[in-house]
Formats: sequence, structure tokens, C-alpha cells
Amino acid sequence: MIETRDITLKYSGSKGIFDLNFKVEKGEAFGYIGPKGAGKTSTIRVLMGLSHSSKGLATINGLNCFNKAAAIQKITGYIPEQTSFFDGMRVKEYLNFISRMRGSSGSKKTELRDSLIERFELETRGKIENLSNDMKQKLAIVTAFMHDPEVLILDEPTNGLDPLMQSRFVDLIIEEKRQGKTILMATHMFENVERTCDRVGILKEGRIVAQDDIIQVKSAEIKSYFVRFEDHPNLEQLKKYGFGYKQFSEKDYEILCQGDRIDALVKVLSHEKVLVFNSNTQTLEEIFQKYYSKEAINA
Amino acid sequence: MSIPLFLKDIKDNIFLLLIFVFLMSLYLGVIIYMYDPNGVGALVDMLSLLPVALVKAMRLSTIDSGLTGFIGSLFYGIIIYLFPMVYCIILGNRLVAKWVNDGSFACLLTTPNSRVKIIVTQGIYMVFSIIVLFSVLFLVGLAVSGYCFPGTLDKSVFFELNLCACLLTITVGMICFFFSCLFNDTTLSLGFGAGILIIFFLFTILSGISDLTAFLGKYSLYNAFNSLAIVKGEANIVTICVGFLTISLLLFAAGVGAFGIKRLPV
Repeated sequence: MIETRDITLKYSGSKGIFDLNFKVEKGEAFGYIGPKGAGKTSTIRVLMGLSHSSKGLATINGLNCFNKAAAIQKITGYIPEQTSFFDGMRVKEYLNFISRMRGSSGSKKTELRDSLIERFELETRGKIENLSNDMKQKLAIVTAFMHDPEVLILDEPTNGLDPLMQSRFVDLIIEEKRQGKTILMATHMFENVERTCDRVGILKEGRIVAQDDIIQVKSAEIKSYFVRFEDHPNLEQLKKYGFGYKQFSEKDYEILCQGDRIDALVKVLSHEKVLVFNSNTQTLEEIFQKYYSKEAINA
Repeated sequence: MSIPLFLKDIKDNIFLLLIFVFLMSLYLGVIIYMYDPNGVGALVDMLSLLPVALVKAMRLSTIDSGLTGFIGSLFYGIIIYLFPMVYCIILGNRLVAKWVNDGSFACLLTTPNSRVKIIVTQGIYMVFSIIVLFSVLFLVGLAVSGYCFPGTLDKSVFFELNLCACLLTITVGMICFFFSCLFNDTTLSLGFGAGILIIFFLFTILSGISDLTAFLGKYSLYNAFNSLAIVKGEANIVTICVGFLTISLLLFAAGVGAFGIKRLPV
């Protein structure tokens, strides 16, 4: 459904995207992850026909992304990394305008739109420029989903949303996937794709360094947990099972665990009295040291 | 062309158009009201107090004694360059470069409308609003003349004046539109659009001052519209109109073409 062949787009310096190849099949959810500045948005701009690549070919549903952008938009919903709305427009007015520009204003579509507004608790009165950033993001979400598109191209879709709305968004994606939608979600937060995507492409400095199904990728993940014990823990056990750890104080530890070995960690910890167990927020580079460490650059 | 977008253009820019329609109508009305059918002696006396070069620059060295010629000199002499120039610079920038610059153009491109279709709509609005402006001026001219000096205005010449001025303004508008399509940045869009028009305007003014500077007129678009020649029936209306139309179409096509292939920063 979505395919890129050797697309390259260079910016000044060494920035850009280079020889990108990936394919998202119909009905598949593809997580496109990479830290900020890795080239996620550049790729999406090529897919959305905003930029043309200097080399290679990008297609959606077999249509050339640059020349056939209008036909592609008919079946696509797009959340830009950051949406700038028109000055002076009201929320309802904007949604009506976009619906008219899409040539779709049937009652079924309005129903879907209203259910999205309700779901994300979007404030529809007032002018867009007076909305807070998270409201603007909600508006972008409603705009992208309200015409029930077959293909969803999402660039940091949960940007600025609070945790509750993030989880509502994840639910929405899961529902859309169940309906057979094709989804490409670019994000720098692995937890966004963990629950929703079948396959993941990992982007580093404009190149895809790994592309695999989510289970394989999770085995490369290194999770970090903050743990406070009531007593001195049995460090020998942790070492024996190969878990890395950092000690902060007598009873406070950060324990590192591979994504596919959480079960083993739980079993080891079950012999201790655990007072606090928090998962740490990590950057993509921390989670995927395998791909992002300095050594990996030279490899 | 996209109808919903065209309606949005009207809504967004109606106030700008109304301001210029109002100002120019008022100006035209006052000029017609000032006309003295017993001769323009008083005005000529007044102008003789001013330096000759200034009078020439303002294109007032010859004033026709008929009402049509009077309007031709005083309204279609300099005013007709200035007001529409400002209008076109503002509107040209608002129609394209402003939305590209602030990123909101992306909203349009998330809908199933091609860039070309969107940009053609914007160009059509520019032409449409200029035609509205001059239609209103034509009607105001007819109405005020008919009320103050019935039967004095040469309607066909007045129509020719408006037709040529309208096409001139469309060409001016297309210059602004072209730069608005070409550049992603409002500063550059405004700078080039306004810059070129101001140079044209200065050349026209300077070319009237003396024989030494007369050659500059050849390089100014504005010199292609000479209201006195039209009033005297010396101008070849068809050539002027076809010329303006051709330049406008070329600029329009170039603007659409440039916009169709460029990388958008939105």
C-alpha cells in the first residue's frame, strides 16, 4: 500500500534521508521510529507530496506521491508533525471548510466527525488561534480521521496530548487497524508503537538501521526500572540472570532488562520485598542502544 | 478551480477589497464633482504655481477641457497606478506566500485537491476581485457624471479607460502573484513584488520629467497605459489589451508552474 524505493532527499550538511526502502502492506500498522532529526518528517513530506525526492520513488496505493498527491489525499488521513491552521477561523468553521474541500459532507461523515469530537473532548467553540496546543493536536486528529480514510499517515500524533488522551488515541488506532486500515506512524516514543504496530522501522541519521516485526524489535529493547527494596536485595541473583543495574543508594536501584526478559526479571524480584517499581521514561537511544550507540554508527 | 476555497478567499479578503473600492470610488466621485464645465482655467492656474517638472511627473501638463479628459488626467493619470499597486501587493502576498510562510497551506494540501487546482483558484480570485473593483469604478463614474453633468461623459471612452486600467491592474496583480508563488517567504514575495512595481512607477514618473529621462518609460509597464492617448483616441486599444492579457497569462502560467514543482516548507 505504501512503498518507498531508494528515496533520497538531501538537505544542507549531511542531513536528509538516504536510500530509504520500506513497504507497508494493506492492513498493516508500521511504526516508523527514530530520534528527533532522524528524517521521519522528511520521509512523510515526500509521501504527502510536499517535497519531491531527488532520487527514488514513493508510492501509495500504486500512485506516485508527488504527481498524484490529490488522488492519494482522497484515501488518506494525515496528521502533520505540527499543524498551522488558518488565522481567524473557528473550529467548526475549519472542520466544515475541510469537509467541503474534500467534497464530503454527508450525514454519515458528520456522525463520525461528531463521535471523534466527543471522544477527544475537542472544544469546538471559539477561534483556533486561542486553543491550547493539545486542543490543536486534537483538532488535527479529528481532521485526519473524520473522512474515514483507508490509509493513515501520522507524524508524532500524540504530540502534546496528556496521558489519558494518548491512551484514547492508541485505542482509536487499534480500532482502525481492526477495520483493515493501513497505518504509518512516525514517532520518537517507542511506547506509542509498542501496542499498535505490527512492524517497526528504526531510523538513524536518515537511514533505516533495522526493520523487523515488533516482537523481534522488542528483544532489542532495553527497559529501565527504578526499584526500591525494603532490604538489601540479593544482587547475586540479578547478576546471575544477566540483568544490569545501577545502585543509587542502599535500597534504590535502576535495573536494566531486555524487552523479552521482563518475565525473568519479575521472577527474580519475586524473592525480594519490592516497595517501589517504576518504569523509567527513556529516550529511543537508551532503549535501542544496539542501534544508536556510537559503535553502531561505525558499524 | 475549487469553489469552497474561492468562497474562503472572498470571505478572507472582502474587507481589503471594500476598502479600496470605497477609497477609489470616493476619489473618483470627488474628482468628477470638482469638474467645472466652463473650463479648467482655474485648475491650470493653480498648476502653474507648481514646478514644471512636478506637474509633468504627475502627468498633468496637458489637461483636456472635456469631462472625460479631465477624469482621464486626474484619476487615470497617477492615482490609477498607486492605489491598485498597493492593493495587488497586499492581496498577492495574502493569497499564496502568507499561507506557505505560516504553514497553513498544508491544510489545503491534506484535501484531495492538487496544488495546481488550489493555486489556480487563488489566481482566479485575484483577477476576479480586480474586475469587481473596476466594474464598481465604471458604474460610480457613470452614476456621478450622470447626476452632476448629464450627457457630458463620453461613455465609450470612459469604458475604454476602465478596460485598459483593469487589464493593467490584472498584469500588476499577476506580477505580485508570480512572486508570491515563487517564494516561500513573505519577505521575498513582498520585496520582489513591491520592488519591481515601485521601479516601474519611478521610471514612469521620471520619464515624464525631461527628455533626458524619457527613455526610462520604455522599461516601465505603466507607460503602456496612457490615459490621455486613450481619451484623444490615439491609443490602439486592441494592442494594449492583448499585450496586457498576454503578459498576465504568461505570469499566471509561470506562477502556477513554479508552485506546482517546488518543495513546500509546510
